[in-house]
Amino acid sequence: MKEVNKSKEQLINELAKMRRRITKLEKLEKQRKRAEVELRNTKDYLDNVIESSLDGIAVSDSWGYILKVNKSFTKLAGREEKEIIGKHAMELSVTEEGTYESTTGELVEIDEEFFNHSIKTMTELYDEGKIFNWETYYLRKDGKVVPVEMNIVYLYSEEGEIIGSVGINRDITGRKRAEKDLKHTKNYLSNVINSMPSVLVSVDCEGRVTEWNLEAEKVTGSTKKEASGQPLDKMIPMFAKQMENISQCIRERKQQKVERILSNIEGETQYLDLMIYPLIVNEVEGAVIRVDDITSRVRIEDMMIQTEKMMSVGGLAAGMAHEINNPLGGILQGAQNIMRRIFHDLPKNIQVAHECGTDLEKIRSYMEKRQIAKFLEGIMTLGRTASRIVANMLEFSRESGNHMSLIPNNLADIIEKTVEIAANDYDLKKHYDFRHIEIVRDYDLDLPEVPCDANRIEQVILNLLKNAAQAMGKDRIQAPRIILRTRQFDKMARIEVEDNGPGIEEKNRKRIFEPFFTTKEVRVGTGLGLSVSYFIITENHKGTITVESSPGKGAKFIIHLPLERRSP
Amino acid sequence: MISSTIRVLVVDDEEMILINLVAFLEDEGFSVLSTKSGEEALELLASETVDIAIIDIRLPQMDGDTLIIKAHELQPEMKFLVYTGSVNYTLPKTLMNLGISEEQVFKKPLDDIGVLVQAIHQLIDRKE
Repeated sequence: MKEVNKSKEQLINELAKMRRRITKLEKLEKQRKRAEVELRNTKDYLDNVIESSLDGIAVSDSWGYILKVNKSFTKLAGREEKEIIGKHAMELSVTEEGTYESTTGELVEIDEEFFNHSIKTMTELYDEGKIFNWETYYLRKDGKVVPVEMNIVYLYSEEGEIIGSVGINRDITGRKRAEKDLKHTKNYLSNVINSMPSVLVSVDCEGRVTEWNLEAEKVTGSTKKEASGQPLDKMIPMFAKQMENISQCIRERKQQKVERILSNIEGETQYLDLMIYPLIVNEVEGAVIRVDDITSRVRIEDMMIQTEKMMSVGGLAAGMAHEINNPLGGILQGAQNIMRRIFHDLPKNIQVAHECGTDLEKIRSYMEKRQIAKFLEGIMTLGRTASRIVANMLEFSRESGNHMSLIPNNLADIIEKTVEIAANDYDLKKHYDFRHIEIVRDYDLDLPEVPCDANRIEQVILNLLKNAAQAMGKDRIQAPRIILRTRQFDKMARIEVEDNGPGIEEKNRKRIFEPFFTTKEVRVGTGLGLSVSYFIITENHKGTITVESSPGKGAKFIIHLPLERRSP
Repeated sequence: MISSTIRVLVVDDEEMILINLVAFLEDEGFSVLSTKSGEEALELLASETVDIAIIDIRLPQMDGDTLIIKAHELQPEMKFLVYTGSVNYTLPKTLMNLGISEEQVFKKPLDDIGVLVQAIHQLIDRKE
């Protein structure tokens, strides 16, 4: 129907319909606009979230080319946004091998392994669709590398195709630095522990090894790895006796000290000090044990005690000698006079015998028959023996410089001369022929001349040779051997007389230089030889004489003589 | 000089030493005088001439060294032997100045007193 044909009523209806429609359209338009604003708001919001994240966020396409990054990422990568967008993620990382300075302040070595690891991680990403906490480096524009921790996830379309990825990157410079410091501290502490010249081990409450320093490795021959978790007494058998002390220390939280433990490692006598203290962190976690080898200290202490003992014994002996000499003189002279007045044909003897109505023959005959002559000879022989012993004892009080002069001598010459004397010694031949002993000479040809009293050094060495020969003879050693050694040792000349005889027991070794101490049969030795030697070396020459030995291992006497005479 | 004309003085406070020495020297033919102290010895030397004296050093009051010096003043021609039990004895300078040497010092005990006789003869014969 044409407009003109429409009735007024009809037209009014249509108008109303139009108005309704306009209102509806206006409403729809409003709705659309509101939705548009809402959408814009949401996008801004998400952008805002991404942008304000402190972690660096990068969105890449399915090939790995970066589409979008936030501010934190640009800061992290050390580049501007336009330098990043469109680049492949890998291009931001290190692409060439070499040494790089890190933001942590240390130098980082980037090698093939780094790239291999990166490739492996990328493969993992492809297979799994995500990577969790991957630690790698970005290379900044300024040439420094920055350590990052990355989390990457793939984005998928509704059809399940990869359409891109989101990577969240965290700068871990601070953490790396802390780790480095921690590692340094740990290294430092372990160096402190390892540099200690003591064995330092720790155990847990059950006595199993938790710490094991270098010295412990050295002493036991077991590495920390081998020792860790093992019972301590299994690793160090001598600790079997100490396990109770260790438990007590843990139980009572009190440190324990065990001193001067005598141990025998491969035949070497050692003295050890043991310190056990509880290891307390929050609760008692075990105990720390420190073992100090105090062998040399004990040796020095022993030597000092020895010196002191010898000095007092020496003084006593010398004092006694003085007092004995006079009466001994009377005895010897008396006996000599008696012998002369009976057995010598002095005119006076003949005259007095005659006056007494007898003669010397009768008197002598009586004396012989009643063995009086023999008794007298006994008095004289034994008196002379006593006199010799006293003379030896007097060596103890002889001081340096008194009665003797120390003249430079070649030690090897003195030793050779002494060997000659020993080979011809009649007394020695009776018990053991010195010529059956193999003599090994090991002289230091560069040893300078040593100021000494040649006769007395001869006396000392002869005494050592005789002792060695007697000891080896008594024990019937199959291939007896004496090694004679000279060396220069610091500012000292060192003489060693070593045999392969039966050796000396520890209890005897300690007393070996004491006057009158002897293990020889009665009449074979007076017990003065070594003590006289001791005083000759220590007092007259200001040197030292010591002995190293253990049963079955032979004996080694060591003499040190100063190369320079100390001014008094 | 033959022994019988040599006059020897022995000074020692130890009686057994003294009488044994006297006996031995007499048996050797010497003419022997003896005293047990330095003081007595000096008293004796005031009136008796002696060729040689054997003197102990450790004596009760005056010691042997002093005795020798005083005896030398009294009889400058006199010779001396020191016979001592002190092993650390060293001849003092004052005695060396009198011409006494280490060979004239003997330490007790002697295995054979004969060495003293030899020493006496050596000193006296040298003098002649």
